[in-house]
Amino acid sequence: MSKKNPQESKSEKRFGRNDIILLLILAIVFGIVFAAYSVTHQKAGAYVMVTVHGKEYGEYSLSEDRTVKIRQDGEVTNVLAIKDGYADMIKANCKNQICVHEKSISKTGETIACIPNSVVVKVEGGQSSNIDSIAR
Amino acid sequence: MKKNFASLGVLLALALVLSYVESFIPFPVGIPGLKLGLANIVTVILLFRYGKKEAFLITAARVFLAGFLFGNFFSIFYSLAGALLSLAVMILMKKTGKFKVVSVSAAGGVFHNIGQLAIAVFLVGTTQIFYYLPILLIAGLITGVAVGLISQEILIRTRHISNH
Repeated sequence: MSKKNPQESKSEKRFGRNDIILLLILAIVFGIVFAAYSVTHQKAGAYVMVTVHGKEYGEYSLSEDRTVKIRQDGEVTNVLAIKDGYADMIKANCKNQICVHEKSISKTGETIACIPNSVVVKVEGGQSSNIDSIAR
Repeated sequence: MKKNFASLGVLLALALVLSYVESFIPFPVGIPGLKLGLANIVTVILLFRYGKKEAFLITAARVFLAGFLFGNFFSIFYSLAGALLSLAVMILMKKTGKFKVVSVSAAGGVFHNIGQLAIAVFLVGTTQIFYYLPILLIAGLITGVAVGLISQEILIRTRHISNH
C-alpha cells in the first residue's frame, strides 16, 4: 500500500471557501473590465462605402476631409461631408430629409441611408492588426 | 520511488497529444492564439501529484516538442512565456495551501494568457494588442476553471494508484 503522500491531501474536497471567493472576485472584476472596455472601445472606421441602388459608388477615406457630391443621372441627389473622421449627410433632394437629420457616423458598421434616392453610406474597415498569430 | 520516469513520459506524451488535438478545435472567439489549454491539465496534475520540478520539466519539454512538431519558432516563445508565468503563479498559489485545484488552475489560465500577451507586446512592439486584454482575462479564467475541474476529477479518481 502506498504511504500517505502529503501532496495528495489536497484532492479530497473540490471547493473550499477561499476558492469560491477568489473565483467570484475574479469573475466580477474581469466582467467589469470587459464591459467597460467594450463600451468605450468601439472600432473607429477607416472609410465610408457609398452605394447607390446597391452598386458601389465610391469609397472615401474618413481621414481626409472632403465633400462628396453623389450624382445620379447627372443630378446631385445627396451631398456627403467628411470632416474630422465623421461622415454626415448635409444635403439631399429627398422630401423627408431623414438622411440629413441622421447623426454623423464614424464607427465601423454605422450607416446613413437615403431611401428615396437609394443611397447608402456605410462605415467600413476597422483597425487592422499586424499580428498574424500570438501562439499555437 | 518518487520520480517515476515512465509515468512522467506517459504524461508528457499525453500533454503532446492534447496539444495537438486541441489545435483542431476552433475557438469561438477570433483571437489568434486563443485555445482551450487542454495540455495544461497535465501540468496541473503534475503539480499536484508530483511536484513543481516535475511540472516544470514536463511542461517545458511539452512546449518545446509541440513547437517543433506542430508549431513554429515564434510559437515556442509565446507558449513558453505563458506556460512559465502560469506555472510560477500556480506554484505560489499552491504553496499558500489556501486554494484548491480549481482556483489554482483558474489563476494559471489567466496568467497564461497574460504572459502570452506580454510577450506579444514585447516582440511585436505595439500596444494595440492590449485591446485584447479583457477578453483574454475572461477566456483565461474560464479555461482555467475548466482545466481545473477536469484535473481535480482525475486527481481524485486516481488517488489509489500508488506507482508515484
